Amino acid sequence: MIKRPFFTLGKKPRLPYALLVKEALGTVKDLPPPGTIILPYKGPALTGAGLSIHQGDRIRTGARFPLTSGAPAPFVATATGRVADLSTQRGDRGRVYPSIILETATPDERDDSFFKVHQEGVAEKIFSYLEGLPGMPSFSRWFSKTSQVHTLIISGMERDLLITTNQFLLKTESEVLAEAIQTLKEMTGLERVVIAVPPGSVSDAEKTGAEVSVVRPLYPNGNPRLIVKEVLKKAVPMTRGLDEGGIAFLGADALVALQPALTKGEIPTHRVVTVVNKGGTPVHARVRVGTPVSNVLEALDIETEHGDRVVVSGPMTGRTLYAPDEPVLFDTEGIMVQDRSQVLTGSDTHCINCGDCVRVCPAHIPVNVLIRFLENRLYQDAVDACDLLYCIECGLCAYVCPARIPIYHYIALGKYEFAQQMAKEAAHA
Amino acid sequence: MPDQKLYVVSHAPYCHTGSSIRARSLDYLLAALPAVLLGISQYGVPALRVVAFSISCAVLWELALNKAMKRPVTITDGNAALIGLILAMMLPATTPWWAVLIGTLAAVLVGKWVYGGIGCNPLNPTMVAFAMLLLSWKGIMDFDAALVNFAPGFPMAYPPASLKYFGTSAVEDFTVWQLLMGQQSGGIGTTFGLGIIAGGIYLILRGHLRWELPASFIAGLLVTASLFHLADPSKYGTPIFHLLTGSALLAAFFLIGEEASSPVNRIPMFLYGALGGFLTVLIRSIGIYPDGVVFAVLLINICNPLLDKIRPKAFGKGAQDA
Repeated sequence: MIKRPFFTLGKKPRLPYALLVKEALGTVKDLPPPGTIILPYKGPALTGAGLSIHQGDRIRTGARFPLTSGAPAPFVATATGRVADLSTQRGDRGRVYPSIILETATPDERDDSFFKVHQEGVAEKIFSYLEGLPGMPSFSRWFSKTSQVHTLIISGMERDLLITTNQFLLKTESEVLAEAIQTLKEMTGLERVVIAVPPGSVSDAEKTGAEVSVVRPLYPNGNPRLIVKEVLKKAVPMTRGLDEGGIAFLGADALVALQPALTKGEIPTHRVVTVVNKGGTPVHARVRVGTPVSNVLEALDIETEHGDRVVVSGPMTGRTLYAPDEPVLFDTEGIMVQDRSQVLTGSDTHCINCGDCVRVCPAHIPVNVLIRFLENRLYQDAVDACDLLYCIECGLCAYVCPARIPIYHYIALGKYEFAQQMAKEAAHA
Repeated sequence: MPDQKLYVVSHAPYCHTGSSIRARSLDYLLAALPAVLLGISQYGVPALRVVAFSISCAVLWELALNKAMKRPVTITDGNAALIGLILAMMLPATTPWWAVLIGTLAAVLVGKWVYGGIGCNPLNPTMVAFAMLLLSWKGIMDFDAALVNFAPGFPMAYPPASLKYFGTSAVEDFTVWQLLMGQQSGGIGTTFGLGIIAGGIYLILRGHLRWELPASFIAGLLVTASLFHLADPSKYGTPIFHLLTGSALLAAFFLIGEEASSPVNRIPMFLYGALGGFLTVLIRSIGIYPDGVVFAVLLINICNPLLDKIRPKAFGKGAQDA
């Protein structure tokens, strides 16, 4: 836990990102192939019925399936094996999605359908194939007729503290990044590619061939919205998608993972994650996508006990797992383990109106008033009077709150409930 | 699944600065200590009695109200103790026990709990209580009458009252150093200017008190007092005199910064503080009370919600989103 200094002078807390130096990078650990991998399909809610995959089917790496006949997006496997089970998982906020549990087999057999698509050379088709990989962002906007993406902003730093994946990849695989950027430019006709990095990574960033933008390595400057603002000098509010303005945002990790697909037509199967143990020491590991978190922790000799906390991503914005059998996906930047003794609980004290949250908020939201609306479930008022939807979700308000109110949790709940309300109203309209 | 290993699930963030309401309250108590100690050394046991009784009563009232309202016990957050201490600082050393008992009840019940407890009060609880005592028992709260039997070695006429009734000639003898060192009559913890300033600076450095509040309050007070003084130097005191007498310094560093009743944005903080300083001098100069602080603070508390509407635009919120 990062404590506040004794004398703060009322200044904002200084939360520096973990910075890597070239001399002490360490190497990436290649984890042994897991016996079982879990591949969730997190698209629109689907139930187990009507799946076009069945128990006992053999699947090859890179094979693409429509999950149901009417599913909007297909699904791409990241390993070879036999379907051991199909289960329905319940995610956060009541989301239900099917998961395919695959007993992996060696050697890896590659399905050549993606290679064929790649040979055709139609960018839109290539990206729609890649979208099916678990945890890949959607690329549909990139090829939209109305607002085609013209600027790609790559983050060479992290969204959250303690995690160092993007920096590590930038320092160790800058050639891979350079190739990926070059191919991407040729395929999609991007006008501008900018890479945002902390000051220590400028020379590595220059090797990628992208325009370099230096960002102060203090939290929350790695937040996508703040990076876009820093690069383009224009704030895009949370009420609008970044891509609406023709801007695409990708982490260096996503580009490194995509590189074999873009240049050679090989379906990506691995990604690098930062694993932070209870002592706060980071290790970088190359993991097959779909590997359960428990296998990753086991392979790195990190023991966990009942009552510990396992966080996907970092300490400010990450998501906790209740059991270690959730898989690493393409959007898993890191895993953080917190000892049970460090687990803090919130409180239900009222807001004392000290204003620390208001002064720390990078989105200028009147958190002190907002929290009162949210506590009383007045979501419409929270949106109208307190700009609830403009929150960029950095978690600093809850981090500084002396009353220890789980403000970020309230905000997340408020946004969700408001969206539900809106959906209900739209259905009745 | 009784033997399955399960992790603790909660929402981000998973770390905290370590600040707490309790730590804030303790820092406030610590910051107020120098002024209180000098008061006790000047007035002796009667002052100690008021301070101790006021803090204990406030804490016990808080406990009783927690129980009566079936709420979690909140006496450990230190807020009740702070209310008790600040009230005692403003009272004369001779305040009878029942007045302290009623005053603390007024502060904790009427000032705080009727609105829902800590953080919900629109007015400074201590000021609510002090105003009630002042309006109900004028004699007890009249420093000249209350402290008539004390002879601590300096003039025992209450400076703001002397100024109000006899003009500047009556207070000419006070030097700035005397006033700063507490060589004046007044509440137990309001007279030791240097101690209050030191405590206030400590709070600012610790990040509990925003510098904008005391700075603008003092500026507002000095400017307004200068205008009055220039208009009629024989009737209205000097700005420094206004600042160092009565509860003005206590207001600047301990009263107007009470979290729930003060604004959090920068421009509102400046307006709020400056208005407080202005009203203090206005009430002192043309009102009927020698020390206008209590009503000035309550009045600016009322303005707070309106003032705090002046705030920066949310991230990326532009004309097209309005």
